[in-house]
Amino acid sequence: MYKKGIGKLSAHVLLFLFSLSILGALSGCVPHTELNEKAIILAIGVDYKEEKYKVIFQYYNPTGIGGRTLVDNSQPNVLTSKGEGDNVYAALEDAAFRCGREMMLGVTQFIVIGKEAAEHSVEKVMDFTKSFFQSHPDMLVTVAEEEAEKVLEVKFSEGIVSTQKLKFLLTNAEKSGIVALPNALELFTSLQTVRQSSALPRLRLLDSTQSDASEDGKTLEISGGVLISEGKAVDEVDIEVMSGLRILSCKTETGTVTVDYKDEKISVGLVNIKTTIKPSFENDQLVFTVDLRSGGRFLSPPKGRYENENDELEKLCGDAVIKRMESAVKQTVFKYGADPFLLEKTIRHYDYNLWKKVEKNFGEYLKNAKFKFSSHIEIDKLLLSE
Amino acid sequence: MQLTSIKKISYIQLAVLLVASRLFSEAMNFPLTTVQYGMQRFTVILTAYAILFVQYIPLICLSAKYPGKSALGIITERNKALGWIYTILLTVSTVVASISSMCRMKFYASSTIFGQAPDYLLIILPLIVCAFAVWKGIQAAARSGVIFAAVFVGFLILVSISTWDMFDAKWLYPNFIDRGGDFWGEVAEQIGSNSEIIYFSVLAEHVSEKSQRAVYLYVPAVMIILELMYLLEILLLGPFVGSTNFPFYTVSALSNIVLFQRLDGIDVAVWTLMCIIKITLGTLCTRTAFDRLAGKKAGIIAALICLVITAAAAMIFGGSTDFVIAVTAILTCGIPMITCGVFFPLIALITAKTGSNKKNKGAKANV
Repeated sequence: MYKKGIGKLSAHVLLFLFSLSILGALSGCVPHTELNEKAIILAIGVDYKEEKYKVIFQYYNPTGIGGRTLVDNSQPNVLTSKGEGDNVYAALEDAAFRCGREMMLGVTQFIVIGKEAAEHSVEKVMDFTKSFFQSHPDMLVTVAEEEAEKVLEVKFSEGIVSTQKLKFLLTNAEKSGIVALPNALELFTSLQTVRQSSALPRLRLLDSTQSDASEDGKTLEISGGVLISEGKAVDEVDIEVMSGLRILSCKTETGTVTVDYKDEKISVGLVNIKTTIKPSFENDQLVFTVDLRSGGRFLSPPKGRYENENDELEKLCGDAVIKRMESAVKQTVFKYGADPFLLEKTIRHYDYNLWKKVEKNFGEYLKNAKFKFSSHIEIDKLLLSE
Repeated sequence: MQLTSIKKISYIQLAVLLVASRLFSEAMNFPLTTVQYGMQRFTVILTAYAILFVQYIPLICLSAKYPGKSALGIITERNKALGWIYTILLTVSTVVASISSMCRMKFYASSTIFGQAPDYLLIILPLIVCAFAVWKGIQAAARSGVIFAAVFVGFLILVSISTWDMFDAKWLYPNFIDRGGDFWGEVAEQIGSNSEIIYFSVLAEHVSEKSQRAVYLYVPAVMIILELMYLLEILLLGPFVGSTNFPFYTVSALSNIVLFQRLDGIDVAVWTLMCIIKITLGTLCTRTAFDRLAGKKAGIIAALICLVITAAAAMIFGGSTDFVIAVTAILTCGIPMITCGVFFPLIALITAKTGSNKKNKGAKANV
């Protein structure tokens, strides 16, 4: 039988305990941090000098809002803080201590790694995110041509170089087929492969007199990329190589190619790019058959009519893309035995026995590998006859 | 003295409860060591659940032959001393499972979105909910468990749909035993994560009819969900799946649905609900066991003591990685589940058989 007295008593005790915990949770009686006590970090720059990590982070300044407009122009809405330590985590803590706020990495969108830090170890730089699971796996990672600190300190009219500006720079580059969006998750994944290779976009700081330049006459551009092999930066590569790598990574769908044809520079936009790479093993050599298929649309319409010569134009476009891919392979795979477009994954997927055969000396096999390229680009004929 | 009645539930409800409880172990890799990138994990899960099903055979036979009774119930009826031994071992096992779950949940929540939350919020609040659920009985826990499980399945579907375009099928490769040396170690760890066999050995008596059917549903359901979860993780994270402590958290952080830019907060909430179910089931086992041996009031008091021990251990030692590893290792070594989930049910089967033979002989002699 149900004894109401005792049942009610227990219910009241439980209700009391529950209410007490709710009160504690919702009131200010528990340790908590107000918004203006937090350093809501938007971007992080990491440098490595004299065996110490130096960190600069941009954080959101809540006092920069609250005026008549959403953002009070009289106050900078983004501030920076610097710190140093034996590892990136310690340096971040030092920077947080110096600005007197508590770190919050939940909205961090950008990490800029200084040249020396990247050459020392990209893996060690990224290690700190393992202690901060609140950081988003989609945040973008780039390498500065010199020091990361300089990149994050450029002052544009809207404040210090905004994360949005850096993001737009990379997004536009991605749309034009120059670089792949370098998100942290892909970098983590690459660092787990045998060759620990990747290619990150390289940011260059330039003097500029243009209207979009910063207050101190600086502007930022993507000057190419940095090749990561065995977990650290080993070389700088140009835009052509980055573009080739992007196509070889089989993830791109759009791109642009410009060819010389009958004294004209004709630009063709590539759409629905599909790249397939198939591995095989011939004469103790890895052989990769790369096939590119894509649609094409004229971006700069040709002056003459070339309906009958479409095949030739398509071949020219295909050759231009193949040249990019060849250049990418030469600069990365052949030169360093690097694997920035994850050939390991391709070999595992198509021929696991072959992977077991080459796994131990994969770097050497890559250096001596052979690539066979082919392309099939079909330019949209409707756009030719205006 | 009866504080509240533990009523009957259906075998489907018990199966769902067990699934929800088991899935909590998949919230994080920590402190398990054998989760690695590779197709082998699919085979490991398949093998582990085939073996697990075999381990359930004594319990299935028991449930089929003696409907409405549990291994604990039969042993307690036949031999009180053995019943006490079983109860004590069972209580220790469930408390260890609860402490391990609570510590892991605390580690998970404080490492992810609740970094600043005080311990009492992460530990005491869920345990108060568990206490309430235990006090209300298995029927209320079953109703909540079904809702929690539905939330989990919905969440899994939502994450899969919203990350569809990020899948990379090339991370899959056609070799299902590629680290032969580690294979049985991985299988053992996977089997060892199933404290639910202990829960079933006690809670089967609360199932209205055909409790063995809960096993027929539970084992394949967990296997399929685990395979699907791992497939999702591998398609999105590739080799990163083995080196991150919280693979599913990373996956849910990648998913965006219209206004919600990341679902990792929901992920933590979902696992917290699963953790509550796991601890509640364990504590309900203790309550049922003490109910039988020392009366209803003792059952409730024993359950509350178990929860207090869990809270104290999690508060005092929860921050120590070594402690969490040691406590979880007690479970994954398999001894508690073999002892309480296989050995004692076998004894129950034998004692029940000999008991009924004696009765039959007695009846024949009378005739």
